[in-house]
Amino acid sequence: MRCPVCHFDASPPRCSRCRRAVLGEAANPVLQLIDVTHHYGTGGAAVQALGGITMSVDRGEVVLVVGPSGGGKTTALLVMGLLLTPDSGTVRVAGEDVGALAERERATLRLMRLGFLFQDYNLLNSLTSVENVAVPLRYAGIRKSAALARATELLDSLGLAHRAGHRPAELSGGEKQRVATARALAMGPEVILADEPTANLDSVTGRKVSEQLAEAAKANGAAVVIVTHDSRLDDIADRVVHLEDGRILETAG
Amino acid sequence: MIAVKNLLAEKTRLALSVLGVALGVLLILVMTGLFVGTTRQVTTYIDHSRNAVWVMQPGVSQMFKAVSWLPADTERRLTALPEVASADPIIGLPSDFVHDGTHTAYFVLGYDTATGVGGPWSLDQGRTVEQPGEVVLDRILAGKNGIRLGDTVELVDEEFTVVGLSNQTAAATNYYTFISLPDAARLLRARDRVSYFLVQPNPGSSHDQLIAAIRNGVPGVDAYSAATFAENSRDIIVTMIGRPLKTMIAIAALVGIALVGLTMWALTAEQLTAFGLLRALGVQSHQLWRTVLAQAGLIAALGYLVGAAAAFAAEVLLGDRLGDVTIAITPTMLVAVAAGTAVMAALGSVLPARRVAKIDPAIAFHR
Repeated sequence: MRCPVCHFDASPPRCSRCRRAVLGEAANPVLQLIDVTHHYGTGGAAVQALGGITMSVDRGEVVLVVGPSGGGKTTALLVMGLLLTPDSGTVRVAGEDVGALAERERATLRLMRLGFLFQDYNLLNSLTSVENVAVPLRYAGIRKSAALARATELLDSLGLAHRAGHRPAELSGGEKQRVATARALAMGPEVILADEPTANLDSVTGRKVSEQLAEAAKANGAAVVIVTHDSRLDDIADRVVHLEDGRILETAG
Repeated sequence: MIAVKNLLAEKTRLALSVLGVALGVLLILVMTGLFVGTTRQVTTYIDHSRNAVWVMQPGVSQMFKAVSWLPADTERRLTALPEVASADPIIGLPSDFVHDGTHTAYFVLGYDTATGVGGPWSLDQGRTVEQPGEVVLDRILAGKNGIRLGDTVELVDEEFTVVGLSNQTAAATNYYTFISLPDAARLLRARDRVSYFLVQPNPGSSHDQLIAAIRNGVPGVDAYSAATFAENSRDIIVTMIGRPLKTMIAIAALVGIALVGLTMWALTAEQLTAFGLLRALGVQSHQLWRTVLAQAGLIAALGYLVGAAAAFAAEVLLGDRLGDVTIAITPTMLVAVAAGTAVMAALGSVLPARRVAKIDPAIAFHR
């Protein structure tokens, strides 16, 4: 198996070059939700956020989740990202049912198999671009030199090599989101979950960043789930899922 | 990496945090240094008795809270012992120095001006006592009262002329003042008695042999080495000032822990979103614990260095300016306070680290 970080021929349990944990081959689909329900609050004040949604994402696929505010998009994203345990239903990441996993194991799955993009970029202001990209790698125990090499390679692939030494305060919104994209790709995840990644960007930049995200994800063999209001992203998606009132209304291919 | 970079990113916050810990360290070191310095300095007179064996009234084992009286003929009985080379009398009693309405506790010492034994060992100004009616005052006591060479001062109920100012004879609440033996006998109503004898052994006799010989051969007296007599005298002072000082040191330590705790609490509160992001990315709780502990450790280490440097500065400045208040900072103290600071950092970061470990990673998605 090829190590997704240093591209060395690696075998379990760890890559001998960079020390990244080597997991088993991810099953397809890489992400599955089966009849997932979730409510916020209890009793009469309970609000249904997800009313039994079922969906799956295949390797390398770009899926857009759209719908009105309050329709359950962010809740669905939190469930997919193992940041929220649903009331019922099954969630599988890379074929593994995560329902019975302890928080420690869920955190490991997030680190190894999932990448995240946020509306507000969520870069660490005290770190440079290359250091921000290297954060998940370093916490995964990967050697500093390998982590920085991987981070530099990803920034280069996203056209940000010249901004590697800059801190977030010195970057434009588009640059910040591309640095965040590089961070999301750093560990070689199976799925990248993006929460309104273009909401704070102008239309041209938003489109460019989204295209780069989709291209980089495909190049790295990762699927992308984008929760968005931005209908201009439809043409970069392989599939659009419309979520309203906690239910999937339609799926367009 | 993140621990250090996040700290360095906000230099004012870092400086204030370090300052907080430094104050705690300074407080503990100064309080402990005062305790050690005072207990060391308080026996300065005994420590400068040329390693003599001290002979006193039985039942008296220390100098400050007991009165020793010995018959003057004890000298003859002491010098009759083959182990004794010399036996020099001194008369010493605590008294109240009154000058221009100001009262100061001090210790009057009468010594044989012919031999100089028991007299001042270091003079800042002037000369030693040569005749009746003359006094050598401690220079700090003189300075505090605006007394100069040639001034007349009242000791108990008689007037004396200041002929010298001595060094190393002040200790927090005690100042040594030197007059001639006959003056002291008259002033302190000693008649034909003295307080102590400072005895030196003949060549060939050890101090232990000399003490044993005095105890066995001279009835009605007791004898201690200078080291033992100083230790006993120090113990008395420790029982007097030890408890309040130790209480203040304990309070300083608690203040230090609270400072580190508050600092770390504020620091983690400011970084909560960043920690939430790390949790969302898949960083384990124990790794965040390590980050918080590393930040606490760094602040504690820097705070310790600044606090210790400030304590050293206080030691030099206070010692030089005041003379009677001594802060003694020892290597043992530095090691102990360093360990204490590490414990303070660990204790102070427990609650913030628990807070970080329990953070909801979904916070990263909140807008």
